[in-house]
Amino acid sequence: VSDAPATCVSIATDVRRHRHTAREVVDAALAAAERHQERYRAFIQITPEIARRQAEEVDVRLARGDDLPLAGVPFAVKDLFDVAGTATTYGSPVFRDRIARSDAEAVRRLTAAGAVLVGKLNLHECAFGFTGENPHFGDCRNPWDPDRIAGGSSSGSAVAVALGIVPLALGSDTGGSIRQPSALCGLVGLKPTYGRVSRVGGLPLSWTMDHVGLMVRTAEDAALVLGVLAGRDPRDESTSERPVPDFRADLQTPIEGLQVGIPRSWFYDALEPPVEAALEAARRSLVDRGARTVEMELPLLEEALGAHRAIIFSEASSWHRPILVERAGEYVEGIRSLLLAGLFLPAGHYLKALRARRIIRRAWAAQMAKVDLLLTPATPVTATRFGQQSVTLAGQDKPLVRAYLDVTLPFNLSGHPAISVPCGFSPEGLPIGMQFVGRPFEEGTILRVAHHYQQATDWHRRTP
Amino acid sequence: MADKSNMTSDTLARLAAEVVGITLGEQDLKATADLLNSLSADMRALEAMDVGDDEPATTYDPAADGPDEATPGGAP
Repeated sequence: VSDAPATCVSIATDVRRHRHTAREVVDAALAAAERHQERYRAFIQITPEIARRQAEEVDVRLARGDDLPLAGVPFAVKDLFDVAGTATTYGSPVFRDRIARSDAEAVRRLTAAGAVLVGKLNLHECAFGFTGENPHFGDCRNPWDPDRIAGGSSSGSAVAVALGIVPLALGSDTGGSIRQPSALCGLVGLKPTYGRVSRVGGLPLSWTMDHVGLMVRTAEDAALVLGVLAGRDPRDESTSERPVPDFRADLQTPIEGLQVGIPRSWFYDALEPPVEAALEAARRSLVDRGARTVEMELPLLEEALGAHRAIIFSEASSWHRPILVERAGEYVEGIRSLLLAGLFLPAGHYLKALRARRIIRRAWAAQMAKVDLLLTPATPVTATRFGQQSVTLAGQDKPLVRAYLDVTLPFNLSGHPAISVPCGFSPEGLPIGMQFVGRPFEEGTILRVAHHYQQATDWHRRTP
Repeated sequence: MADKSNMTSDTLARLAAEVVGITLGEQDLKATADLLNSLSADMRALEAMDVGDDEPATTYDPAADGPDEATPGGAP
């Protein structure tokens, strides 16, 4: 791994100025993907033929004067996004033969902007988990300590970017699946507002809480890529008609005077001491740059947890049911019981959750109106060891699913934009991440604060 | 909902066979029953919540649902 992996911005600049060809860049990415595959299992499929064809097309398009904001940027996608002519496995043997006829909309937008696809990335089976352990395609190992989990479910996405194979990976986030692995692997992970990015061509886990997003090293890259991905797609009825701002240009606006809400209760209740210290240092850094922090509370979080459970289990089981009743044995045991459980939840629970979501959104909107963004941990603990089921926090044993996801899943239920940003390392050398949460469709604010923070720190420049 | 859910493997086996139409092995029955009890505990605050007259939000325009329109995802 090099000391300073290239970013999307630097690669696109170099390729547009003809310092490198897209073909040269992608050949290096393909070589790195092959080199790391046996140890880290980031990929389910590396796609050299697609990559070289797309790279040559980019070089031709540049030669004829096309404006390509992501010229020659190698990227890879969580293997729940369709890529024409390849299997979309969903990390499961159940879908091994599901060959896509066309590209997912997010993939189409990236390649139209000049990015080059190098492969399909490993994930927690069916995106229904947070460790990245996968008995079918191999466990994704954390580049900072291969005996520890990479997080998930977008595990391969995090590993591929952390290893410097690609500067950009697509992920999906239904309870924290972009932000948690980004935090555990030392990356920036952006879950945009629900409705900002099209879900067309991505296999669903929970229609009303799935968010398509990205994993990169810098907030500047996140701003550049979100500008490409965002916008109305008439084939996805949830996507918004709102105009897409120039996120990258907005990064330069000072953060002086911004009000940063600190919701202590729930989010800060039980943190590993190094995480707590890193969050406090980050808070001070923002204050030093002119932001103001405000202690506040988000109400109804226990209710939000219950609503998230009712919705994710009901929607996932509904989608999987036709397969489940015929071939349940093909899912790995842990996933099978999750999907089966959803078949037995009463419809009343699901409908109560949908009704509660409206009240919760309204209550949180009232709180968010008092501040510009929230600052919370992205994960209360750093990467745990494979097989670990619980963690001791504040003197109490907590199941990992609660320890990791309680701080991220509220914003899948509500649809708020949220970003994980590296903010330190534990004494064991494991990355620590913080989370900024913005008001709906105000990704620009959290990207700007993340960018200013990264200008003052170097956590994101460190490599495993 | 009762204060504490007590889904058992026997109850779940009957539900699976009579409501869903599937037969589950002992291990699946136990794992799924345990999970349902855990979910019930996580949903206790939701169940107790007063939602008044609020309706679920709709995220789509029903007028846009033509017979030939694609939707995200799609069954494999």
